[in-house]
Amino acid sequence: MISLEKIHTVSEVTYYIESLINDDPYLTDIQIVGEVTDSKERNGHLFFILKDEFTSIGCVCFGAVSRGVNLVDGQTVQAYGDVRVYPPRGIYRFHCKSLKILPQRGLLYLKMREIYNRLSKEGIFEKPKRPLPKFPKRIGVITSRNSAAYQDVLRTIQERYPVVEIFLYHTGVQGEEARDTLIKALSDANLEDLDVVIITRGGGSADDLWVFNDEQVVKAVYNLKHPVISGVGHQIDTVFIDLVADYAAHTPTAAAQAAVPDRSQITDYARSLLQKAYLHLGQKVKNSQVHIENLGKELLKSMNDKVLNRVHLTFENAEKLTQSMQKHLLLCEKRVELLQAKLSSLNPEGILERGYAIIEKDTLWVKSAWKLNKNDELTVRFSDGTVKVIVREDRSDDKRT
Amino acid sequence: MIKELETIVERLEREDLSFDESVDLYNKGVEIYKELIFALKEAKIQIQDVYAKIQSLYGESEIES
Repeated sequence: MISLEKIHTVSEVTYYIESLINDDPYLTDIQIVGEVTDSKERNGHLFFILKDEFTSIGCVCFGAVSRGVNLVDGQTVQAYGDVRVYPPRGIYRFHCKSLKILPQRGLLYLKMREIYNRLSKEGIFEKPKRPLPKFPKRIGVITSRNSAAYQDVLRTIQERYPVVEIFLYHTGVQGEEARDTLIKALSDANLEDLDVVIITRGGGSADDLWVFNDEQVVKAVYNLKHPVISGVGHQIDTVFIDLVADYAAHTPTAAAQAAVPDRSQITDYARSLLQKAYLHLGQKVKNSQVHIENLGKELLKSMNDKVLNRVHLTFENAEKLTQSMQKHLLLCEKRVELLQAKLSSLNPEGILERGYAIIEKDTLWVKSAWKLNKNDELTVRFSDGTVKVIVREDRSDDKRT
Repeated sequence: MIKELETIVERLEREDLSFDESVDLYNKGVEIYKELIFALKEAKIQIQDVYAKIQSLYGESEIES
């Protein structure tokens, strides 16, 4: 991103780069080996390029002519000096203080090439990188127990993440005898249940670091079942185990940093998890609430409907009952009216008042002529009194016909 | 009571009774008739009351829903 706060001049940037490079101890008083190309002499100085298989670096040897130094393209040289910036052209160059022409290519260099090619062919460098564990519990450290590198690793882990168990696999880290102990340490570590393995040692000469280029060592690292972090040498050193490690750190300290999370990382992670859980829970509670409310509403509605149905039914029944009661009452009334009509026509005194008379025989009401015989004594009852009479005719013959 | 009245009317129509018995029976019939009319009126009013109560209760339940 372009910073809008300040616009720099070319010089500012260049001088800053110059200061970075000039101040870097890894770029001062170093030795490099390479093949000479494009060498030419100007004003008594010698300019040339040193290259290897992959890269090249511009070099200058000031006052070479007066010192009697001369180079031919194709020579392999070991140069001693510093990397410096040449600000007018914005380039960096290696300033040779002394030069040694190697009679042949460096033996070590050749041997390295050989090993590299062999391992390359076997596909060992194409091993896919495994992810490092986020929160390891058991860390294996393969190094010398007396080394500064081990102290760096211990201190860094103690500072960042003091909750891990550290298993040291002691090994020699220098010279020929280191090879066997290193292979033994690697195979020991492979038997243990570990989350990650750190292989480390501090900086040193190419000879010192040689064991980490050893074919058998590289293969043993390749075969480790645990994720591997390499932290061999300092800054610019690269060894072959870096190529098969799952993470290659520049220093022992950087290796330890890669192996464990920082405290703040953990608390941040925990906080984010908590927040997620909180949000999730809140949402769940809310959902449940809505669900329950809906259920309650449904229940109320269905109950209400049921009750209303019942009420309606009951009301209909009550209506029917009332109607049938009224019908029944009406029938009763009619029956009573009918009876009343009959009754009033049967009122004996009413008959007398209308001018009719009632015939009685032995106090009983005679309602048929056939019930009378000759000489029967009868009482005739009028509304205003009674008279006695005697039957003069016998109608018993007629009765029989 | 209607049955009683029916029996009285039947007896007045069919049976041989003395005049006094007939008069007594008739008067008894009239008494029963009056009671019947009163009871029917009461019943009518009661039915109407109950029905009105049911209606008002039903109306309330309709409003609540």
